[in-house]
Amino acid sequence: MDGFALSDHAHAGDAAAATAIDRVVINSHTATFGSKLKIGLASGVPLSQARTIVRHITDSTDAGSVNNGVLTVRAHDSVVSTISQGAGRAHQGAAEERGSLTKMAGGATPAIFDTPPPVGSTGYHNIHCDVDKLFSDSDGSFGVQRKCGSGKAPWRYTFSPGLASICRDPVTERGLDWWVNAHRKPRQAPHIVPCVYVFHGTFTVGKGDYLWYTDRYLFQVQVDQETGDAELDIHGGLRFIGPAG
Amino acid sequence: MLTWDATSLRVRVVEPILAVMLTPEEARSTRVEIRPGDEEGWLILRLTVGPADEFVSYLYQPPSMTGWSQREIGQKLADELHDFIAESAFGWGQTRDADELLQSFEA
Repeated sequence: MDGFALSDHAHAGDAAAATAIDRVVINSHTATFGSKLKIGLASGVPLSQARTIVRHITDSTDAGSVNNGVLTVRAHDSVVSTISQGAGRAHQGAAEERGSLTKMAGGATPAIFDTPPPVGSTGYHNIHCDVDKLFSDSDGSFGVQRKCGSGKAPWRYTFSPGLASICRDPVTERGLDWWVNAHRKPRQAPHIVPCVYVFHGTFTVGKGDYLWYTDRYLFQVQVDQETGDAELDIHGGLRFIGPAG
Repeated sequence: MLTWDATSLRVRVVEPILAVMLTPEEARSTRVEIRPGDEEGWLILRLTVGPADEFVSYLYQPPSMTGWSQREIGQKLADELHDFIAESAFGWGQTRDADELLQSFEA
């Protein structure tokens, strides 16, 4: 994706400075997968330019809200796809999880990230064994699958093309935190890697287990001459069950 | 209850696993550091292998790892090193494990 111009800078003392945006927040949440991207801009930019940054990452038409220099936007609903095992790994039967959208207000950090939803609640997406599931939103895609009969479920996460296009290497991944049936498991390994890295790991789970995960990625973004510090939090809930019916 | 500190982890888990998962030449170029983590009781392992490859692991994380055996801690570390080595400059694409050694660890 090509860069975009930030030619409309607010200058000190300029009337536009009153609306300078020094942080952009993009929320994308469903009941079972979501992410929150916060971009801090060292020098505030006009609202129009902040919206341009948003458009680079998501095609959401949400105008968002502005509060104390923070532009908060809700991205499109996340999409859950089944990935075929055949050639091209094409999407099959993509289904949007509309109706389960958790509306986020004001850009406040949701407390649910580090607190798993109650076991048995709707906060967990059913993962049939032998089926590769992909959860996608404007920030990236999280994939997971478990072979029938296996106690291992490998996962992966990649930044979306839009986010990767403004991301500057390297990315620092904190390491994935996860809970099985509400019991916390040891944090997985951290990484310092390029923006296009396929973050990955393995869950140890059994049939019927409810799993909640959250991870954090820190990196810089650059749009023309403008740089910012980005913090991306992802989270999701999975329930591992038997073969698809 | 079984307790672990930086010294016991280094001697009983880290060094034996490195000895089987790295070549002697790689091991000679490896710097090992174990330091406290941000959360209470956590211990962080940092390895630097050769000039460019760095590995970090949350080696011990109470309370979620409280009471873990030598084999359980070793298995977690070996799994992480397995991925690290396969993506490193010195061991690109190689699959190395410590399965045989782990069978000799206390369960």
